[in-house]
Amino acid sequence: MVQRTMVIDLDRCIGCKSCEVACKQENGVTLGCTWNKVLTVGPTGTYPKVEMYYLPTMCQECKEAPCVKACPTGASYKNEDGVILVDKEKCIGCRYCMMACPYGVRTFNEETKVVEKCTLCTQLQAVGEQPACVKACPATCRFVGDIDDPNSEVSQVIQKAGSDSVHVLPDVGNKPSAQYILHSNIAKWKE
Amino acid sequence: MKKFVLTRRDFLKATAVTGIATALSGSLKGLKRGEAAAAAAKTAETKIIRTCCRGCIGKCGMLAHVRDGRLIKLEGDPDQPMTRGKVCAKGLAAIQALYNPNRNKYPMVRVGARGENKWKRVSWEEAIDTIAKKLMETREKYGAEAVLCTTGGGGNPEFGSVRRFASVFGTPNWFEPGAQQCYMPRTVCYNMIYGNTDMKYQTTSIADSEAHEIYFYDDTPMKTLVLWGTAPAYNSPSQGGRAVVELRARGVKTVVVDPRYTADAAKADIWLPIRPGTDVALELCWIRYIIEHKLYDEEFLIKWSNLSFLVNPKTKMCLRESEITSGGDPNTFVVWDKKTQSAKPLPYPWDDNLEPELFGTFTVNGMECKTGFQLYKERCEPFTLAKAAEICWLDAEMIEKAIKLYVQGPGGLCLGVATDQHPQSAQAAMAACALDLMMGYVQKPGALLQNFGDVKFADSAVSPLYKLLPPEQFAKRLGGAEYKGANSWGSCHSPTVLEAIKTGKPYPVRIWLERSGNKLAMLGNASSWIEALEKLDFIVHMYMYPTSFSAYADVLLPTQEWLESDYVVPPLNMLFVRQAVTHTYETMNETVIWAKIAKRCGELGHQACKDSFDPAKTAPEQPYWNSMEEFLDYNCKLKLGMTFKELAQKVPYEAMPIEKWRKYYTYKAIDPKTGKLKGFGTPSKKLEIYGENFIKLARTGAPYSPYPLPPASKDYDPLPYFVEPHESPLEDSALAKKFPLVMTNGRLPYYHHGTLRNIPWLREIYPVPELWIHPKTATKYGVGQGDWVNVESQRGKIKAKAWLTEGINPGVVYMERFWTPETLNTDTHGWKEVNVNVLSKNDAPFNDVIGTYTLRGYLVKVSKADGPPRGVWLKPEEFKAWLPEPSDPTPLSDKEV
Amino acid sequence: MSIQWPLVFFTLFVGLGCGTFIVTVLLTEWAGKEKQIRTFSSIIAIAALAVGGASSTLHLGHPERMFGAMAHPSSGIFMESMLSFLLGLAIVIYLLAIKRDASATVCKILGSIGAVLAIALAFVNGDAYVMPSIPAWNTLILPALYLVSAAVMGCFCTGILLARSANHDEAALTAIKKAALLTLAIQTILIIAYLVHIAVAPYPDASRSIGRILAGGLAPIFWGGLVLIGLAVPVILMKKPETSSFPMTVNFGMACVLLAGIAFRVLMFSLGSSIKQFF
Repeated sequence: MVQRTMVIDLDRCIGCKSCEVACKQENGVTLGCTWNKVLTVGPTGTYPKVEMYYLPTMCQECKEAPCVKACPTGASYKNEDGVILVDKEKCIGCRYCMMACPYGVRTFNEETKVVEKCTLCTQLQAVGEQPACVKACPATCRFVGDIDDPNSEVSQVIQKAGSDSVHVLPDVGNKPSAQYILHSNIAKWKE
Repeated sequence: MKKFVLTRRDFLKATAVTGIATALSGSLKGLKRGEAAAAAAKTAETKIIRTCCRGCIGKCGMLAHVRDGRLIKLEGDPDQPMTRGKVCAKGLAAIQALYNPNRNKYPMVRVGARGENKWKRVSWEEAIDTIAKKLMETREKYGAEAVLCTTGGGGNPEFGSVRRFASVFGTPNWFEPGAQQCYMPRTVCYNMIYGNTDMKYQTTSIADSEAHEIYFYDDTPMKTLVLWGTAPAYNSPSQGGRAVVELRARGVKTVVVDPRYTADAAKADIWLPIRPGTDVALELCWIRYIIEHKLYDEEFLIKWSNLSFLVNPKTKMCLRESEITSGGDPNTFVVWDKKTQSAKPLPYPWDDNLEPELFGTFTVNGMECKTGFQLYKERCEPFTLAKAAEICWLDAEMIEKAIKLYVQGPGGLCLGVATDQHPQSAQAAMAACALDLMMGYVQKPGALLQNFGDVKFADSAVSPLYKLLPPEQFAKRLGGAEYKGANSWGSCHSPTVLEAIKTGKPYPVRIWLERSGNKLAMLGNASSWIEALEKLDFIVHMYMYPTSFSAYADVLLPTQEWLESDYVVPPLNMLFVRQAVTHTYETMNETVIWAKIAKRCGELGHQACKDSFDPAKTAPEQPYWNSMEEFLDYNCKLKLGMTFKELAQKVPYEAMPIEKWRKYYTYKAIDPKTGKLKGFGTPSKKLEIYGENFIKLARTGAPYSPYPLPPASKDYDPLPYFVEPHESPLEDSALAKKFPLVMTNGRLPYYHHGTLRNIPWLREIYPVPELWIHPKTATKYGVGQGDWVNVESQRGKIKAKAWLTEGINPGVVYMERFWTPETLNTDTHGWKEVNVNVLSKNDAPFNDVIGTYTLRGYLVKVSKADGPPRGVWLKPEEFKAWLPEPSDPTPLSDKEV
Repeated sequence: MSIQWPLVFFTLFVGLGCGTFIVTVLLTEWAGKEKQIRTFSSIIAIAALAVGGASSTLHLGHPERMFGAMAHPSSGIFMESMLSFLLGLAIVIYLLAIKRDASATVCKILGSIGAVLAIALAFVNGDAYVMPSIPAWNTLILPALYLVSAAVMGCFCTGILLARSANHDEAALTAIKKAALLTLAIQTILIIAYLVHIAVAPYPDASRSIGRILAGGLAPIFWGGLVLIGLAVPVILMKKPETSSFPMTVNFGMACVLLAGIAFRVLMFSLGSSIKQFF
């Protein structure tokens, strides 16, 4: 099975939001819609003993994607690389998929009246390029590839990090494939 | 060989397709590899132009995708060695700046009263003529010094343009709101102590594209990096911030000294949340500790610094041989020799028979002379760990831990702009420079202070033509005699100018030519300038779009976005170019505007302006030009033997081989002229950590003043000293009872100074300024997370949105500068609502050497507000009005005037 | 989650339609009483289904593509669409059977098929919201509540039909009142069970907490909408022994349970925050 997904190294992420704008530019995302958002987790603790990290959030390319199951028209589907996409010609804008997503990472475009989300830049992948956010990221903290391939860059990055430092978002049976690296000397992962 | 313009087909073969998402309509479903490429091949021809950003001073490499003459996409240039293909949010949003619907398109003159916002379009010729005539009139009536010229750091500046024009026109008065409050304190003090280097400026600034060692993260032996009052993750995410990420990933330890918990602080090994304005106390503490525990590089300091030189107690200058022996050399210094227990002259570079004492008080010819280091030690004596902890609101143990990391060298102390923004600016820079030098962190692998090669295209290629500014005019520079350090850049003292405009003393200032964004958002105590604006006869605003300042102007001139301009950019040992991808309407590069004004003044009879176009009169400097092409070609031909366009074709261009450029220990090389060791670029060729020449600077203006100046009111201290901030929050302060919190500022990664507040994608991310406030403090004032608050100082009152955070001391608050273009056409003109510089301070005390006023480290109070300010946009959809309106390229306006 | 009004009225009217049909079938086909109300009640059921369906299309970004909703069987919306269609068909066939004087057995069978479909649809209305991503909805108590809500509304609606029917039988009225009280009692138990679910659901958050429901921003909706108007008042009304004011009583009761139905659905959406809401 191929599961193309994103691995993000939170030790490195400096919260500059370059990825947010790169995505907007590459994909023409409307004002008010988001495909990729960087959150600030913390500072937690008590001044001055605090810790903080930045958390880029986007579609977690779940292996058992609830958004795909929920979609009545099949507009929300998983392609042959495991990437979850929205066929905008089929989408009826019922937003059922947005309810089904445990992370709230799909967005409804009020102008086109369909649901949109991160596509891992399939249009760039088609010509051998990295997604826009990966290219732009000043901290080189984003990696995209096949997590089910032990030799892919994402798999190697995960291995190098060590299992103690690899985290996923809450899994309620959806099996998110995206992974986050965060070593405890930077900060403790918050569920 | 790489072409500078790639056809779309080439680029497709090599890498990517442009704007495919916009090229294809409908769904992406079923897109197989290769299909997209084939589909795109059917669309129009797309060029990729290699350029460099100027969203900030990072100058990151960019690839601009242009289709049918219109820019459609930006991404990073992987070949640029400082940025390696990375770009920040500001650069990526630049299409929205270039094609912003509110761009100034044509020269305009005011009709109706100031502030009525009624304008009439005029030709460039008419605009320049109007300006020149007004200038000549004022010069006739009041003298050229009555003309004030200003520039700023944002909006694609060429700092040298304004300085040159001022020289040529004959006014000594130009400034930018940075300068004395930004970078200059460091450039002056590091230059005075560390000396001249091949590159013009050599401080440890990451934001100003120095500290080049950090870009060699793969092979540098650097062990520790101290980030003092700087946040590379915010000031240069894709350049310096990027390099710091790589250093940390490779095990470099970091210490962050910053009142707020920034991204860099969050990843640091130690965070010292220092009370704003008390940096010098902490620095002196570090020096005291290093001296006490003998952690300094003793041999290096004895050989290469003036710390062992004996100091004349009366003059405070280093003792010369000529003072203790008749016929002695006035350029040879004196040390106390351990072996012979006597004062001995020290020939350059040193005498192996001598064992100079670094510390001690010795009697020489009846004088009680201490060594430089002894004086330094005594200066630092009060600043124990406990004392510094008390003053700086820190934990003594953490301070010690930080020092212990710092001394694990090699490493460096990167001093940022924070201390430049407070009246202790020079002292903070002196102490920071001293620290690295005492540790021997200089000109060796792993250090920040270096002397790498100069590829000859430093930030300003516009030469100052000081020789055309008559000495009697120079002497009139407002604040020039008192704050002599500022003559290094040539700028005047803005509070003194303000007084002159308001009162006519010491002489009237009647005209303001301003080339930057929003002075009312950037100048300290912004409101104090309104009276001045109302008094001035004539105000010109040159910028890319209207700002608050434009509301008070009489003439608006449209300048270029970086995407419309050309420039030579020197990353490390290479040369890249910024080259225009288009030209909109009738915008003109400021570098040319100033030249046009000078030309017209020359035609109207101004001799120096006429001469400024004559190579015979300007030699060895460049004469004025009629176009950007002329300006750039002159410099490129002179320095590289080719035109600008030829250089652009050769990018990435290796100006100097890396091994030759990245040179260490240059002070140990033999100087062919003397046959002796080269040493450092100071008069003594030693590191002048005991800053005796600060005294000379105060008394005469040397080395920065081309002519001798009367002495400053007080000698400058050769050593740093600490004074409690003027608006002190300490218990015995009366003011603190009314205004209990200390305000500081700091960068955000989405904006650069006052720019980019008109960019939808960036305002979407950060629509209004946050006030960082500790939760305990917030609760005290009934403020909850996200509440709107009033923030007030002695100068004024504004609003901000509260962000409660444990990442700041309960006695400190933070907010960044902000103005709101959406309320430009209301009676606030966009600068009164959320502008922290309504609160900041521009009166005495000023820094003694530089004249710095107080942008950080003053007192405020916070209370809950009833809601956001009227008219300020908060929701992303509101910014739709500013979405780009792409336009076709227009011919350059250079030739029309 | 913000309140999705078109969906509130969608399930409200569908519930009303289903409940009315179920209760009527039970009364007329199984208890054999008041058969004269069958036609009108079936028409009301279809009308309510139609109004609910129309309301649901208001929620869509592209209602013109809505027939695509039949494409994907795993989706809750597919189930709802399918069942709505089948139920509508069943009711039409039932109506035809009545019109054509089909035998009592045939009517009973057809009516029961419809009733079973209606029970399924009312349940699926709630089941479509059961999803692990939204802890406050992730319980079968929710569709049970939707079903019982339909039953409550059905009782009152059937009561109205009885009241306006010229020659109604006291026993039927009594039965309906008892049924109403029974369904209200079951509803109350289920609401308490739901509150327990809220209290113990994983990934607790203030937005979906007991505190918010009982004493916070949602308290007025809960106490006012569900407890007072949704339970106390209808119970009092149904316990009134007299018969002459029954029409007014039952109308008022209907209004109350409709409002309570809205309140319940509003509460559901207000509690509908997902585990993470990053955007």
